[in-house]
Amino acid sequence: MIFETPKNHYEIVNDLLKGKFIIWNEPHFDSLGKEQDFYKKFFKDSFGYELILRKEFAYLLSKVTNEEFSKRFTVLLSVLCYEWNLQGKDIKDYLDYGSFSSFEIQELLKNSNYKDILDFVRIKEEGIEKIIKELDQRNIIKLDNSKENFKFTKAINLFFEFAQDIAAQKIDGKL
Amino acid sequence: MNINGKSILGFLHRHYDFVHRLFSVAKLTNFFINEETLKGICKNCEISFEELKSYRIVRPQGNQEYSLPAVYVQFLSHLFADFSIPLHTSVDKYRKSIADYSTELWREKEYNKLNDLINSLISEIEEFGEIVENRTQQLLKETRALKSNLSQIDYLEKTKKASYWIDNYIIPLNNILERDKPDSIYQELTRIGDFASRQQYAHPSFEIRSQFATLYLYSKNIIDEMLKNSAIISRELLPLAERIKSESQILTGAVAHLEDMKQVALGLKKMEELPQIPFFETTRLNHTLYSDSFGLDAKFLWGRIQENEKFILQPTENQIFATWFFDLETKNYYKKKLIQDLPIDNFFGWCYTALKAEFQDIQLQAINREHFFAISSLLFLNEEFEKEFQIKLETVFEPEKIEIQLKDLILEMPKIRLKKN
Repeated sequence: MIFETPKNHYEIVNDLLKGKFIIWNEPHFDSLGKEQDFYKKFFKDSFGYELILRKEFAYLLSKVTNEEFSKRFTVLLSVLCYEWNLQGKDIKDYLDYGSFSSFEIQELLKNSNYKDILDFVRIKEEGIEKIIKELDQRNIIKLDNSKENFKFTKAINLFFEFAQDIAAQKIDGKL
Repeated sequence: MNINGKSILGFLHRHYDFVHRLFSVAKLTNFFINEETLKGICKNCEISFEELKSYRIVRPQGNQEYSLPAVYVQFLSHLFADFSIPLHTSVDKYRKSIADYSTELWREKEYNKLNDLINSLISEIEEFGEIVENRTQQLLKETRALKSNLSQIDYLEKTKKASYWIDNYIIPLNNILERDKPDSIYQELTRIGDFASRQQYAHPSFEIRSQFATLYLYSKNIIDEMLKNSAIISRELLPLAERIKSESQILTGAVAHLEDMKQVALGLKKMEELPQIPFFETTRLNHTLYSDSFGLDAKFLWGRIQENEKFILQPTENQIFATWFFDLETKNYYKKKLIQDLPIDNFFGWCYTALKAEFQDIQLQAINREHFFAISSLLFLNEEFEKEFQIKLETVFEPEKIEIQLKDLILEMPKIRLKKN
């Protein structure tokens, strides 16, 4: 009898436990999809985490979430959306297909109308590279080889859904 | 005053801009307009209110209200290419009436009735075609205007408007034109076209054959028009409206979130009340949760289970586990110990001594490379020390080398000094 693990088992477990999103175009995303029943049970029984497998990305959910990161991420993205809209950009297309540099983001934040909120969540222009690094580590963005420019991955959909949920509640008058 | 077709057209021609303005204002209130507004427009354009009334371009409704007669609404809508969009039922009624007429047509044999039925069907199909064309173009025009947002409506209003159009106009219109649905107008017109195509040669009466030929052409043209409009709806209109909707939703949500954060900053709301994205908490884990030797360990266990003899995993008698894990608890223990022992003159020496002390406590003698390297990783956790203990560590490399003897390896390591910065 040969003991076998699913293909790319090491990458799947390591990435997910590090809080990384696995994106559809990565080789281990397919392996995860094929063995999704196994992995759902594996993460639940081993760690008590829920594996969320979507069409374009996968990630883990635990009872304890990183509130600090969530706060900074949602504020950063909300400010960027607001500022890019003022510049006449199509937000969704821009985030889905655009390429960005940390310098560009720094400039936007420096002149933002929401400077006070950025300060409140401790997002400083000079510290933006650290945030970008964390976004890259989590696979929410992909830095290019020069490490200066990046694109958002499909994990950005979580932010779109987050904002759309708030909007839906506004329309229903619940917020 | 001599009022006839020529003088009416003359009036419309002379006062084209006034008529356009009148039409645009009246359109906002479903082509009803109160006397005061009407007199205001006349005054601005220097038109006599009495003359306007005498041409019967507006019709008094009592209550000091006037309406634009339906015939003018239709005519001027074409003239200015600006159509109002009545509710979906006004389009859907054509689907029903065309289906009813065609059912009657299959059965009817009597010449005069057949003649009337074909004429009614042609006029119904023509009206339907026009309404679909006008409605598609108008929706496209208004959706594009909404996208460019010249009237500066806010995101929330934009979301609501786009959602309303999608649900009440665009999708129902698309459904009527849908090719594959058996009761769609496309299917109905195809059946009519097929029937008329056969009858234009087969019917015994020459006049009816000619009528059927016209019906055939009409239905064929309308099908082509419908397919064209259906393509515009599914390829351009619906995606555009959906995009406006989702884009405005994202902006509405983003701005609302920032406003909520403002409230939190001012102490008027609590952070816990705000929604958040459930990002995985990585700091609660450490990288040794998944071991490199997992495969080998599992293989070993699997091998034992396959053997016939009973194989039971149990703790050793004195309840001490022989396996040492550098888990979160252990890691925190060593982090705290390192901070307590600062400054450390010889980091690797400290690692060895610390491990030895712990292993003596739990009756484990041999320190191997796995144990040693795990604890050595503390050297690279500057950020964690800074975050958890607000202590910045300074590392100084000495030229001196030291030897560490492990169970499975002898290491020659640099002497490293650690102190608070």
